[in-house]
Amino acid sequence: MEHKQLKRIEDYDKNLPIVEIYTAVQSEGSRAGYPTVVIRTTGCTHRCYFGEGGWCDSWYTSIHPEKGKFNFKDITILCNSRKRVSLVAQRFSENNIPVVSNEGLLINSSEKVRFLVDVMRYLLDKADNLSKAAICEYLQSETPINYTIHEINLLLKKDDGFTDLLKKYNISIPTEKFLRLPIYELAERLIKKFRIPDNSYVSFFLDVILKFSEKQGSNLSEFLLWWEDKKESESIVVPEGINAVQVMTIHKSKGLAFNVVMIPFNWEGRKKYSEIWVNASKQTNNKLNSTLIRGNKKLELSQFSNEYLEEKNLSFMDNLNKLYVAMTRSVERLYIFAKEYPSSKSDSFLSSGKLNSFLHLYGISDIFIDGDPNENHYEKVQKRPKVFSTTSTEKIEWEKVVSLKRSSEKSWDLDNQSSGKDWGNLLHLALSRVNNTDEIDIVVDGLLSEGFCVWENKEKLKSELSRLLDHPDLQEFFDKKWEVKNEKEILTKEGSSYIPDRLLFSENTTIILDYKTGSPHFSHHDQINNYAFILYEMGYENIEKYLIYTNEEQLVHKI
Amino acid sequence: MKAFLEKIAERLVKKFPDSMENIAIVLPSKRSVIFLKHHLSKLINKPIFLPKFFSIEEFIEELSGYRVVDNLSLQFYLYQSYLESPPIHTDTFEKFMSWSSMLLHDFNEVDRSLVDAKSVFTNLKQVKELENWTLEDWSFNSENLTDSQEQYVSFYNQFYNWYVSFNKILSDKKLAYQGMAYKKAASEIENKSLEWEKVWFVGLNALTLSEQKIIDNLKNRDIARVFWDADQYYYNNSNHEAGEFLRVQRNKWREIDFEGVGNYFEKEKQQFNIIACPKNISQSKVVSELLSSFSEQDLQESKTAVVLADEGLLYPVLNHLPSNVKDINVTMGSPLKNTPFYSFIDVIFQMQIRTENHKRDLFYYKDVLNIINHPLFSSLASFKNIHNLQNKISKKNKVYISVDFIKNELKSDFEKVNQIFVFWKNINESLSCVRQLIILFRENLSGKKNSIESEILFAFSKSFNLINSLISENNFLVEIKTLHSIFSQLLSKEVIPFQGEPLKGIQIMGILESRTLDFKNVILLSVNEGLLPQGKTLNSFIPYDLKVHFKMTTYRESDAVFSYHFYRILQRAENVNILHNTESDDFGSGEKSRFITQLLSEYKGRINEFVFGGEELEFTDDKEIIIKNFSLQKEIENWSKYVSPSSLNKYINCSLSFYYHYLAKIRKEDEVSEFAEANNIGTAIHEALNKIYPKGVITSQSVNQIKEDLLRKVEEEFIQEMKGEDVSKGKNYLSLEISKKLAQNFVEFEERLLKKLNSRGGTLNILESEGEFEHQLQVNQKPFTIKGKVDRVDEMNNQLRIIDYKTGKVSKSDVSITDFTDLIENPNKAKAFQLLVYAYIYLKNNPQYSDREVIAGNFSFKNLKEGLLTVAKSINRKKEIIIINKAVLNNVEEIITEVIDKIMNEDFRKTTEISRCEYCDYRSICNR
Repeated sequence: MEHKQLKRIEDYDKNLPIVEIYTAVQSEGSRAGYPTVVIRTTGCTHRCYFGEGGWCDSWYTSIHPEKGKFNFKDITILCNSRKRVSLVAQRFSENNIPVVSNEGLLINSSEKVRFLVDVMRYLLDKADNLSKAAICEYLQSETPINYTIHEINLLLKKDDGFTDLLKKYNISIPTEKFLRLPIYELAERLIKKFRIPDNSYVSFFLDVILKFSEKQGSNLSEFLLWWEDKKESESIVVPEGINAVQVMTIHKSKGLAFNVVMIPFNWEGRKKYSEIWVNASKQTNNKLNSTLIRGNKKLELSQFSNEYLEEKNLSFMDNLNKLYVAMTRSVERLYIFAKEYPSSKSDSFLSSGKLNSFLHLYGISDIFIDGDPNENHYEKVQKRPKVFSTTSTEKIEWEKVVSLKRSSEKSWDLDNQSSGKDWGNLLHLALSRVNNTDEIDIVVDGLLSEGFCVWENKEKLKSELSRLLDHPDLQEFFDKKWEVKNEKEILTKEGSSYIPDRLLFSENTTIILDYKTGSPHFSHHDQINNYAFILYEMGYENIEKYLIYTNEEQLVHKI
Repeated sequence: MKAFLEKIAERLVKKFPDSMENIAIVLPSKRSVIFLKHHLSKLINKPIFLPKFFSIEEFIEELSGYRVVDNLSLQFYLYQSYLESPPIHTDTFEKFMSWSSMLLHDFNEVDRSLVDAKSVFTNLKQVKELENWTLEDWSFNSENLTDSQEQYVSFYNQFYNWYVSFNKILSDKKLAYQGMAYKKAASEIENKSLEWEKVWFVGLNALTLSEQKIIDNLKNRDIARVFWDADQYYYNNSNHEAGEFLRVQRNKWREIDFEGVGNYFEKEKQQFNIIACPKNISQSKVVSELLSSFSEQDLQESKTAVVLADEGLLYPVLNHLPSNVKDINVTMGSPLKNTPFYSFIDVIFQMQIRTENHKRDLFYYKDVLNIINHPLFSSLASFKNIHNLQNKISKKNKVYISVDFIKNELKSDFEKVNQIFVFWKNINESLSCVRQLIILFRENLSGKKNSIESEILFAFSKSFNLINSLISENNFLVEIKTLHSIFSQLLSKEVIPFQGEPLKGIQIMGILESRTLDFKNVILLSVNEGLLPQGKTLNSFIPYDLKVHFKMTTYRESDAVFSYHFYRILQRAENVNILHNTESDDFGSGEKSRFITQLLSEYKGRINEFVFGGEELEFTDDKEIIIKNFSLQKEIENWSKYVSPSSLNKYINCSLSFYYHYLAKIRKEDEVSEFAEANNIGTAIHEALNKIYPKGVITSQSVNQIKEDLLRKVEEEFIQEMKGEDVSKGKNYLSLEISKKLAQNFVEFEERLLKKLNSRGGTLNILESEGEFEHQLQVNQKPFTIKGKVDRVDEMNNQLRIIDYKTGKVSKSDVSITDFTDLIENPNKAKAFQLLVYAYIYLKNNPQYSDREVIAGNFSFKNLKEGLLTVAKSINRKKEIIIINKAVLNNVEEIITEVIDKIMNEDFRKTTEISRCEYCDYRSICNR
């Protein structure tokens, strides 16, 4: 920052030090609208104190002088501990300043998210009355039914009481079906079922589930255990459209930049004590070579004084590094708040690592402002991208539009489960791939490696295939005189395509073969007749149609 | 703008008007085949036999005459070669599998690039030797290497042997890995006669050396024809990586090959947006917003593509599709590993493997619970039996569970699941268990034809069959945990494809499926570094330098390929929306793709940048929950039969939690506790003291005498408390030692005290130990039975002391009050209240002592140095012991009455002190 202006008020001990003088337009009271000179002082009687640290009242009210220049969302308050963060956030909310803080940004701070988790708990353990009570509590606050909470509580403990209650809220959960869904899908269905409105927290909760299922799979109980651990740390990203002051720990601010940064609390960054690893072999008769002891001033007098001093210096350095991080986050304005000097500058004050002790150390006798309040880098430098806003619209049920490719039905008949049926399906698949006996081994190996054929059936399939291909009734169709087209695809001008099992061509005859593994049925004729019609359209004549029933005494059926 | 494939279709019909069935067309993806067919169908007037469509891999496989086998089978074959020439340290199959796919990948790369395997692997060995080279010890003499260095080098030394043997094993069976097929096809192409008259290569980009050799040859024989799809924008810019491959080919091939290069980027796009989104769900919301603004026509006629660079976003995108979307086509699938069936098999394996590791014939309770609580288990056993088993486990605190225990609870259902709960001795038993499960679940699916479940089970069954065949075919030892990792390896790659309307609606696809296709509207998601382009991946044993030297493909080439796909899908599009994630998380870094930065700096037209807005934050105010004190008589009456001091304290702490705990009786369920907790320690010490500690007049000697017995008893009680849990080691052992130490401290404390007392002629007489007392109190004409168990009542000299043992820490301030109203207002004074209630019921039962000097206090085993912590009154910072006389008893009675009166009449609401909620079971109900 350039040193354009330096105001320093002398005689600190006698007067109220002035931290800022500027012209503005009075915004309230009877003189609203008139030009005003604002003199901002510190050490005044209106100071507010919080906890052990103190700050002058202007540290948050000084947001207002910037009104118009900066929005709330440009301002970030950096604190040293999570405790401080919540203190500031609480104070701000009390003063109706919109604020977002670590805690408020926790995904779990949303009651909708917690509700979803309760529902998941219930799905896993239908005897979990606590979750049921929590679910009803939420539903009762959203769409109340004409029951008292006590009546609900008594009902939900009964065997079917809870499902009955849900029905009264107009909700039915197909538990079995839901539990078989991947957890991400489950969460989405629950959101739809319970009509939970779109919101940032729910959306980032979904992000969390998505991440979990990518990494750890789809086990609901494992997810809930994991979430129990993570719920205190997973937070949302502040939406771009929100105009609120951010409060966060310095730790979180690493790598970020904000227009206006304020660092309150006199910089009390030091840990009260820390632990040190020391070599205590002498003290423990070589039993414990490395021991963890608590850092304490008394150690200065012990054998571990060097270790203690080193640790002390290191933590001092740590502290300085953190201060460095905090002070380099601002683009436009940086406000730091120090407490006034104590009347006596004791040793403990000088080594306290607090901001005012630093200032004292560097010979700064009082508080000053550096920089020009009218300077604005921000508008010149930054071109803000536009905000893309989304509206929550009605969603389709995608599973009604998309389905999984049905590959099982050709191999598995679910309604008629018998090994004979499966075998027939496998045989059909094999036959459609085989051109002649030489290919049997390759085709069967392929079916094995695709998993269609089980190892135990390998030899059986081979022998059955050669039995069929060598069958006297089929010899005609496997004669070398034919030009063969196996599984050849035909495209019609309507865009449909057809694949007959086996087509045989000679100069004047065309033969269509189709394999069937069940018993003869009239419907089989339709398909083969359709093939014949298409071939006819293509210009083939003398078309003969044969159905081969692999399971029947009479193999070949001419149609 | 005419789509690329439409042009190809036109050319096909023009060139081969009579029959194209003897033509082969090589396209990059299955989806391009569908689109090409679609364009063709518009140009024909009668049915035709289609040309043969291939992907480049299929085409080359076909040329090679070998069958390319799946990765898992290849690893089984490769392990045979590995065992033929093992390195010094030989891995088990399981260990081998952790790196073998990397080696397979390298074999593929080496062969596809037509590099001499021998020189690569010899070089590789030397590179590895150099890595172990130091000044002190510069010879490569194996004598100078340490054991681990030797192992390391010997590993690399075998690569070439494995390569040779692996190729031999496969070619004997006419099988191949992909690279092997490429190499064979390329080396035989000269004399190969093809069954197709012409081969068209459509829309390819980068070619490996083997592919180039094949295509060159076919071009020279006038069989092949190559169609590129490219734009001047990157083709003519010598610095642009997307055009790199084409520029390399430019000198080699004829002008006609490049006539497909157009100038599409010149045309200004109607819309070109880049939208920054936090994480992933927000991206799917943006997609939803964009789609809902599209016209019906754009959504219906496959004019819109949603391209996912990260396929993990499929479900979020599907779930956020707006209602104006009527049809979708997805060429992706649902990963098998995310299905409950997989997770069920997984938890079973976990249990069996843990049991095997522990080498004891018991199952760990968490594993058993995981299985019986699994959604799929409910179709194998009845809810009642499952619930009973679960209850029994927690009631009996069973940490390790025997088969018989499970059998007893599951009753007739056990038959079905006995293969799960048997100790698998070998993999045959595991395979048979999985096979049985497949059969059982398939039976359950009866009547659910075409359901998602049937597809999942079928896909699973196919994988299972393959594994089964491989294990039967190869006879080396496979352990149960190996089988587990084979399952997870295979199933993590297995995907069940979706099916939609291929040519209708919006098209959702991965970046690779977008090849050769053109759309009017393109929405690209997750355009982030690490995804698009992928950048460096560590999946090779061969170092970068070596690859460069041998002209093998590196990540640079693969990035260039993706750059081409990226620009190509944009070139004919009219509306482009590129989304990227701004947050750094596990999905890849939050850095936006360099492709975006490049576009922003070099694209001449207008690009709008947006950031995702997001929704308002949820500011939840602390909702009031009030349970009206109305028709609760029955519940209160039930409670009135046993009014404990702790229930009164609970009311004082938070009336709502009292309501839930004692009136609604909604409580947290028991859980198995594997490790001793504070209450277990407390109970053990209490019980031991009660049973062993002498009664009547005691002296330091009598106390000293029972010391050993007491400690033994503490141990005994502790073991009983832990219900058979192992207390001989670990956490439980420490807790046991703590319990003993606490008891010992107490005995020694009392011993010292007695010595002092006796020497002054004083006596101590224990009157009661763990005495249970009750007293009925009438409140509003209703009886309330106040009950309590008083740990100890003794007489010291003339003073009567009501004592409660606390194994935890109690301090003086906990038992001192400023006023009796403190008891009702300040939950921190619960211990004082409890003591006074004990004194109250004791004295009501023993009126003979009413005239004596009575005091009440805690012995805190963790704060014995303070002696008896007596209920006291603090006046001006001084604490004055409260002598419990009639007046005090009246005060206590008044307070009890007041609390009970409130319980009878006042509404229940949550405490205003949030700090009290920290460990409350009812937080989820109160939303705190």
